[in-house]
Amino acid sequence: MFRLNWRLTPFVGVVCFVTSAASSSGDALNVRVEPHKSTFFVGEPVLITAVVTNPGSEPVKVFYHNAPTLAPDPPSIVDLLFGADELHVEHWSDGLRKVSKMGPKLIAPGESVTIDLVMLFSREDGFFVKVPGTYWIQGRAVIASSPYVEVLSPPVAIEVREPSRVDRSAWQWLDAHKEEYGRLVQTPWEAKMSDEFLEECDRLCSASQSKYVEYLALFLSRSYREGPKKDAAEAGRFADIAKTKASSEKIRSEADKLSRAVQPPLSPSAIAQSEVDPEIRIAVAERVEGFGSALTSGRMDECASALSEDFLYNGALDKTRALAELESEFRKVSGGVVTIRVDSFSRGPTVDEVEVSGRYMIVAIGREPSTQTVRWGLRREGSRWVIWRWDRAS
Amino acid sequence: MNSDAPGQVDQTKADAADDAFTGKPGDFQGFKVPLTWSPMLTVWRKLHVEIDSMGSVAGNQINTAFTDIVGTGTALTEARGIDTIDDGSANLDREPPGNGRFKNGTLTVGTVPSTITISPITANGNTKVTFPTSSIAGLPFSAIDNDSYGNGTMSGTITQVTKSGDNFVWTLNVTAQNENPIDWPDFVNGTLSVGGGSNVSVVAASAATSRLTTSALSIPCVIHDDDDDTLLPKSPDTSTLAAAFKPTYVVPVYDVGDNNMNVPFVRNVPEDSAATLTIQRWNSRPQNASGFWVAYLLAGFQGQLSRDRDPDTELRTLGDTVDPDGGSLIYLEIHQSHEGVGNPAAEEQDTVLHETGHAVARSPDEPVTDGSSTFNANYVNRIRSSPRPWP
Repeated sequence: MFRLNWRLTPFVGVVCFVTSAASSSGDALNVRVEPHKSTFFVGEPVLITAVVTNPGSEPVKVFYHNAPTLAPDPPSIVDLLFGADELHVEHWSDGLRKVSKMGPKLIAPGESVTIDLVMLFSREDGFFVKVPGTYWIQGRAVIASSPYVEVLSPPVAIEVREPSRVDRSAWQWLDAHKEEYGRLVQTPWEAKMSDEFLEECDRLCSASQSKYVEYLALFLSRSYREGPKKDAAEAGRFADIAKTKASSEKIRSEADKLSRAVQPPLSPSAIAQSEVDPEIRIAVAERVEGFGSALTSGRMDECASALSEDFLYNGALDKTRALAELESEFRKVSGGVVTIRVDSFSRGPTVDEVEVSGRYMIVAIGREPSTQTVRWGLRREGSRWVIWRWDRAS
Repeated sequence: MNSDAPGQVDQTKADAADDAFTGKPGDFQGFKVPLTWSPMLTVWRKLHVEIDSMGSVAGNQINTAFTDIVGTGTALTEARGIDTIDDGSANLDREPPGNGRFKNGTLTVGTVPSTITISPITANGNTKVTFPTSSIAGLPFSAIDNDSYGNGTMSGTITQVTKSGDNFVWTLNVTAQNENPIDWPDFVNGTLSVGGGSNVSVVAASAATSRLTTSALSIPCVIHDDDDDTLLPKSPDTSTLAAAFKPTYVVPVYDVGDNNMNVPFVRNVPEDSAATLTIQRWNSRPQNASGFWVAYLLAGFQGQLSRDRDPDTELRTLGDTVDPDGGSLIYLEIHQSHEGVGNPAAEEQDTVLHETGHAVARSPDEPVTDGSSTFNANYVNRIRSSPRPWP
């Protein structure tokens, strides 16, 4: 009881401060949070986009928090407050990550920082919502001044309902496995799941029309990509399921990101030296780099010789057609000088794919130079490699 | 136990205060009998702190070799062809690029005792390091001809190396040989070793210029980042803990655990909570209870790899506590002035307080202190009302 009174008293004061300050143009920071939708079933994760903006003319230092970010890095400069009404929101933590002391982050004047967060489960309290109703979420940033200043976002309400008939059985199963489900959603990069849990998730994703499937698929894809049990094929398969089942733009875009390249881009030499599939290493080192350097030089004849019979363009069956298509991409401006530069190679959505980012500069007579970014992809199909325009691939 | 001075209610003053407040003299009906305040009792709690430290830093360098160069032996700017030194940090070969883990580190060329140290490294890629124009002239060499027996040998130091196509041309200062005069042409198809490195094949020789040409280059080297490997073992600085806990009515005492100063060294403690728990050697953990508060401090080297300031554009994790399992790690390397910390001692003291505060208050809330080794009001209240430290 004492603790509750203590929590409320200062907090109401903070709310008043922020409310009154929010209309002022002299705010040091603006904080805003937005859930990916407004109505949920119990046990549905809430993906929250937090935006912190420095509208002033001076840089502002803010503290980092151990908030439930969607990815381990970067850490969040916003933490979440949650409660059953607007005035009784409390700090919410998932208890799944360490609390770290870090140096403050500097936000430049005019800069906006976006943070993706997710709320579902906490180790101490279980699901963040257990009873249907209306709940409130706020974001909080703390300015590292002396004394420090808390800045709260306007609170946003979400409505939480009982699962409908089709979702109920899935929900009951997830409720019985809440810790595994919670860890999968909130820390997929380190979640260690039992075979039984994975099998049932797989069955649900394949057979169920439940609302929970889109989340299971999305986070299973992430876990297979980033977690201890890496499996590129499974990561791709679940990303596709998540895309198909997505009921909101946020889930669709997260699934889409997973089905595209999400690994940090690597240079050709990085790939050549990295622990990726040895066949990629060989291909990049012996073939693709030659192809890349030919592109860099802009000499299509060298490009042709660099491409072995194994490389086909857009699934075309012969090299002649492949190169013709490549050339047509590069010579859209007749009479111009074409300079092509390959910027980077990166891992594709699966370990069997490589993304090639490049740029060609067209300097045409009588026209301003222009640059355009193009992306190529290399995909292993059986024993051969296929190159295609990445931005057309899907 | 603490006692405030006892006092007795002054009826005259109470009546006067009431008169002034109500404007109705004589209406106050309270305290008509003498009332005596008891001494205020404050319950102080002991916080039993176990302190451990990781053992000596080990393996915080890469022993490798470079097989290519940019520049010449007396004007070298880059060593290339190194087995991968990518640790996941942004480096020259990554997108977006960065300066790599080894920025501000050192490249020690050759083997002991004849080494040349190049410092600072300005950046690294996956297989290369760059640095201000430097010289490796003076590295020792040894060469042997291609005879089956009765080999001719010579040794000394190199004065220059240049690239010629795929080959490397070495200018040699010969200080010892077993044939006189040296049969330079006989060294073709023999081997050359520079700096104690692998033997590489000699493809040409010139007596007139004292040069050998080889088909490859292989010079051993040690690459070290800017970390200070002498920091461990050491107890975290707890000198401000007692004063900081005083307003919370907590007295830290250091009477539990085995004070293990040789906890297995881990260069980068991962973000993973479970992995962090396995690194701890918290013997007194089972003793932690509402009637016996226990906290744990372990001096470590660096936190997770992406936040160890290698390169110095990365974030810094100064310390962390496992929520809600407890146990705090204090990363000593991140607290050093070469990592950009203005007052390392004060920062370390504040980190010790910060992490202990999380653990004792059972709260992940930020901030914890006012930045100068004092708990903020939020944490004073949380610690006062805490049932026990994590877990």
